[in-house]
Amino acid sequence: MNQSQARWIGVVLLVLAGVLILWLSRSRPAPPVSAPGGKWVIGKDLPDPRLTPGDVLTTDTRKICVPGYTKTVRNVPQALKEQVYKEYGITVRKPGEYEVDHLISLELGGSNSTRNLWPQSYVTKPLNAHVKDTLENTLHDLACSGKISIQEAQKTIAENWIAAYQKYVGPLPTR
Amino acid sequence: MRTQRINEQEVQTVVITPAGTESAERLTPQEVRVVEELDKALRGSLEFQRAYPGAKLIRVDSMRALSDHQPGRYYLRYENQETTTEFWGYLSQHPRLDFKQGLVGISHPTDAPA
Repeated sequence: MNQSQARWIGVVLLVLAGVLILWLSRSRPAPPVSAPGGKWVIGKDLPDPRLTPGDVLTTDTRKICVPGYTKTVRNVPQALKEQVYKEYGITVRKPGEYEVDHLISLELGGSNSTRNLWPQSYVTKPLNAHVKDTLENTLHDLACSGKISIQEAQKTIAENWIAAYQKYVGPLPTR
Repeated sequence: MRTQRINEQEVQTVVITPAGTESAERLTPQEVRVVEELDKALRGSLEFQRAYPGAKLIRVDSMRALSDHQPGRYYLRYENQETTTEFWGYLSQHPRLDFKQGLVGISHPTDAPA
């Protein structure tokens, strides 16, 4: 093998290594992609529906609408929370940066199954867990006052909580 | 979501892969055996019987990313005419029931009668 052939083989191996690295980086769990028809990012602003489609524990408003209901519902084990972070590719986080959120909130009858859990940031702007909390409270009030059904509240927040915020709360915060 | 027979009951079962997605697989015979023992342990406890009289297991999620000894390995949903509630089952060296946290740990099911 002469020097020129060796150089070409080196170049080909480098290109192959680059392609391999690119492929591996693309196969990470839950890569963020734009949501259909919106600028929001799945896996960041919205949960990945493959991992977190939403899951209902109950539709019984006689229970959900009693003050203190969520205190009667159990907590998520820490091992499960860590797994949820891992599924979303979050390997490093600061204290208070995220919460493991219930997509369909407990106060709307959501379950503690991993199918209803995703990591949501407290600190991103303009959308974060505090903004979603406002929507959850609004939907709870609407469902418990009979203005919408609990099923409608559960469906709308599971499908796209940002669109639900715009429909039931108002314009999204800008900062 | 599938249906499998666990302790003579038809139960909805969900297998969650290590990547976090739902699989079309069924619970393995070993998983069924563990869940059957967890179910027996729970329904056999006085605390459970008082809080959820007549409640039956209606759904199991098997979290295959977790080891058998991690709380959260099995998600168990129970229902009676009054309420629906959740527990997490796992294998533990020392059997335990933490009713408040919803954790039920049993020793290895090979130790239990088949």
